[in-house]
Amino acid sequence: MRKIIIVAPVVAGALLLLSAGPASAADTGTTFQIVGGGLAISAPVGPVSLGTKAPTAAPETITSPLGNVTVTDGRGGVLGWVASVASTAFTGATAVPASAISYVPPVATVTGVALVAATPAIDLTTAKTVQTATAVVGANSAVWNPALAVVVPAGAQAGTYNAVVTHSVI
Amino acid sequence: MRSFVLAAVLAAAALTAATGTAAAAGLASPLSSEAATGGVGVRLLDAPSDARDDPRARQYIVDHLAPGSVIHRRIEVSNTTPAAVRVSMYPAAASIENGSFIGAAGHTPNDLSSWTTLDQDVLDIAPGTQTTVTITVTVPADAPPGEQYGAVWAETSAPNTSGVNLVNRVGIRLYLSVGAGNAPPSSFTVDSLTAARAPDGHPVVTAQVHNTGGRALDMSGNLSLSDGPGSLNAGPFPAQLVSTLAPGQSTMVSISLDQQLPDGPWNANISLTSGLLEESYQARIQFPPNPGATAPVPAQKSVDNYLGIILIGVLLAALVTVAVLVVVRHRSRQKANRQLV
Repeated sequence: MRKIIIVAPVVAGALLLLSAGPASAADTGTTFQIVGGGLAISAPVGPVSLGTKAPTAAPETITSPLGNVTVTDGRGGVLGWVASVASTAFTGATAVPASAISYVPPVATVTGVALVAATPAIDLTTAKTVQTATAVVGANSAVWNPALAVVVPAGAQAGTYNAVVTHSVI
Repeated sequence: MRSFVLAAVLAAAALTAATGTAAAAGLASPLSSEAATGGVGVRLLDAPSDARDDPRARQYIVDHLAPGSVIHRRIEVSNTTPAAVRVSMYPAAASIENGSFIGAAGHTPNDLSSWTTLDQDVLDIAPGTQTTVTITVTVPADAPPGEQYGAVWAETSAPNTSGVNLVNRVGIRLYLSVGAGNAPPSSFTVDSLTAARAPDGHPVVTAQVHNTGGRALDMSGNLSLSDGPGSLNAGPFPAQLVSTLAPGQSTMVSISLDQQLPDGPWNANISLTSGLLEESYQARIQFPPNPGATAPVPAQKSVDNYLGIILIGVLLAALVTVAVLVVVRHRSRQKANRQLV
């Protein structure tokens, strides 16, 4: 009788401790509906002209702004977002590989509570992180006008050069 | 030979050359001012009921599935621009690199993206409206165990085909763990805290964080300083560049502090969360007077407040029980004594 009285609070405490752990995923069949906003990126405007350049014997860099990119995070949570950039090679009379393209993001103009850090990317062959939002509290947005720099190889031929630059936000 | 002009863009080349650094071809100007007011957005509509309280599950598709199982999730794709947009929808590979969740370029596939199908590939969305797309993930019966990452993208592109074409896309992350039974546990440790001073004079605390569990972590958190000179307390300061860590990865999390802070020493307490998982670590640190870093100080796990309250509760309950027992015993003895008398 006395032993039962002593054991009871200990068991109750142990149960509390067990229930304090993170719930493990089991049945994923049932779902509930989430309310709130989404994560959005501005629709692109274009095409963008980097300008013109006379052919030269030595490699030269041509640089131009790409126009504003706006990320709007209306999810209202504490999780951040990551913006990345990738590019195809420039097609034209002379091959200009995506590795010759670099992306320079300025510090973004932020509204709401978020720390948005800009990271320049050289070589856009694979996707590179260029803006990272952390320490987010609630809805936030960021606007930046990046510059694209292309190293035009020596002896590149005259003509029009085209590429596709992709911004991804996730 | 005068035509030796190397143009990165063509039709608008002459115009652009004349104006120097024009950002966009003139034909795009009517849209450019309006574009700032809207865009293409995505949001998750469904999450598993058992993850109701998990903030990650409200924004990402996070699941643990047995081989052979199938899940359906709906997402809403919205157009907040003043014009109709055509949106291309597709799944693609993603990975976790340098602390960031990053989607692979274009339509790059992986196992997870090949298991993922959408009920619509191309959406024409009127201004100010939304469309719902259903994502189906079918895990093959012979799928290997482990966690995989992917993304479902909503992509828009500028209408023209020459010059630098811009493509913008926004996605929903997929974190899918495959295996029989319960999900692998999520856990992490903070191995050390380092006090440093940036070249611009700001004190910085850097934490070495290690994902010791079987699932990816999306981390956020803050740092508090206590027991400093003159019994000062400071913070909490939000942690920067804390983002995503795959199982086994470790990263440096830095927290920039106010320049007015004394050098210390301070008790630094860093509190980090990923979903429902929360851990606190502490170490005694001192900032260097000049730019540079001090030696990393091993961090100790702080006693969780929640756990502390439970422990105090258990102790109190035990004390009350002992008190009751003593009283009961005392009374029964008195009773026995009286009966004897």
